[in-house]
Amino acid sequence: VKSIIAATVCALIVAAGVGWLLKLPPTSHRTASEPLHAARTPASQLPEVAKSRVSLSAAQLDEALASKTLDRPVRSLLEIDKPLHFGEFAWNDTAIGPGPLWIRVDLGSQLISVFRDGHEIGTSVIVYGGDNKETPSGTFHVRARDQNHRSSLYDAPMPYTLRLTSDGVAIHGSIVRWGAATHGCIGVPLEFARRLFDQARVGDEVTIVASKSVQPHTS
Amino acid sequence: VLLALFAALAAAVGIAVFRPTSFPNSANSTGRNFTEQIGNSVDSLKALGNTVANLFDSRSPGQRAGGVLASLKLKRQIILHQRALPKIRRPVSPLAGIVGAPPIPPVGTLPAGTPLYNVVNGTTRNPITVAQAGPPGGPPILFPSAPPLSGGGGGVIVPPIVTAPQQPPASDTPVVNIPPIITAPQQPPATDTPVVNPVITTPVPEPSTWAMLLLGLAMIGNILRRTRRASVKTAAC
Repeated sequence: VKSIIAATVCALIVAAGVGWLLKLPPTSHRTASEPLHAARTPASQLPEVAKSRVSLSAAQLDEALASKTLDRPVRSLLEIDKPLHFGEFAWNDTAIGPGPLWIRVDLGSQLISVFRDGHEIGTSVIVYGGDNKETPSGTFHVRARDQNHRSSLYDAPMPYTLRLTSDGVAIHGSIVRWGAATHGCIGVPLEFARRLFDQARVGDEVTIVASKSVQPHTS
Repeated sequence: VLLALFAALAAAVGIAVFRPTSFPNSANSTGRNFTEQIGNSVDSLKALGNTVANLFDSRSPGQRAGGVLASLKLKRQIILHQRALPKIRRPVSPLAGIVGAPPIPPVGTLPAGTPLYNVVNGTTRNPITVAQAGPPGGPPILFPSAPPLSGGGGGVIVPPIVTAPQQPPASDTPVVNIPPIITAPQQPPATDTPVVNPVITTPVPEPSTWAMLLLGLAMIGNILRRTRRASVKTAAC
């Protein structure tokens, strides 16, 4: 009886360990070898938070242009009442007509905003280049689109790539979580990257700025 | 057979019970932690006015700390190294607890001809002598107590050759006049003298041993999982 009890306890411990080791990591902890496409979340579970939009007044636009927050007229922004978490994004392009696409990337606030016809249709938290692999600032144009690109330099998947520079800096789907950085690319959540990929065409303008207005977090 | 069946059944039940369920996304929870800190600053920004920059900042998770990625890996390595250092054990003399026991000289420095004694019993029966000093840098070669045959050919272990029973077997043991090294067992057992009991190990491990083994395996698995997670950090292009 004693040995049976011991065997039962041992088997339970083994089973717990095996089950715990087989526990799949969450989607944000995928290994680099796994394709990002396989972990696409269904549309019902998308972390969208945008519900409506706010129109910019003339005074607001003038102030933004004067302070160089914006370099072109913008009519409306998505209304987001709380800070976005890493991996979250907002997308709302209903009732927005066709027009020129403009992508604004702010490394300081770790945000990307997609404008169509002067209206913001999407925004997301990004990850960008770490030390020694800094993301360049400036105005770029989309040089190439590649839905299933794979980095030749780092052997990493770059789904929905919008290539910006000749040396490989691009906007692409990536793991977006706190503490992560890239080798210079701009990483956005995969579903956001898919939608952006659908909107962007070769030649569309991308502005990368590094604002200093946001407080650095201390965690 | 019964045991094996029972163990398999219990394993199946255990896997069913401990089946992994979804657990909270650490990325989101981390973000929530410090967006709560940012929340105060967001309120103050809104109080200043709804400029476009403030609108952008209010949705930002905050500025990234400078060099957060570059220093992260190094810090982690240092911490792991510091954790590992105290676990290095130095060899301890088995006579450390015996009163009056001299420290055992290292084996490599023994001169040739030094008799070795059974340190547990303190007897001098069948002493083993260091016949050859051995190759430099290597351990000495131990011979059973027998007259050295030729003295040459260092490195070859020669079994003792009994030519003829000319002597009684008891006198085969050389008389040693050197006082025994161990003095504690010869004294009458004092009250404060620790009694060294031989440790009896059973061939079948106890359940606690199994549990400790499994615990170690689980810890190794945990380390591997964490290492795999950490390696994802710089995987993005």
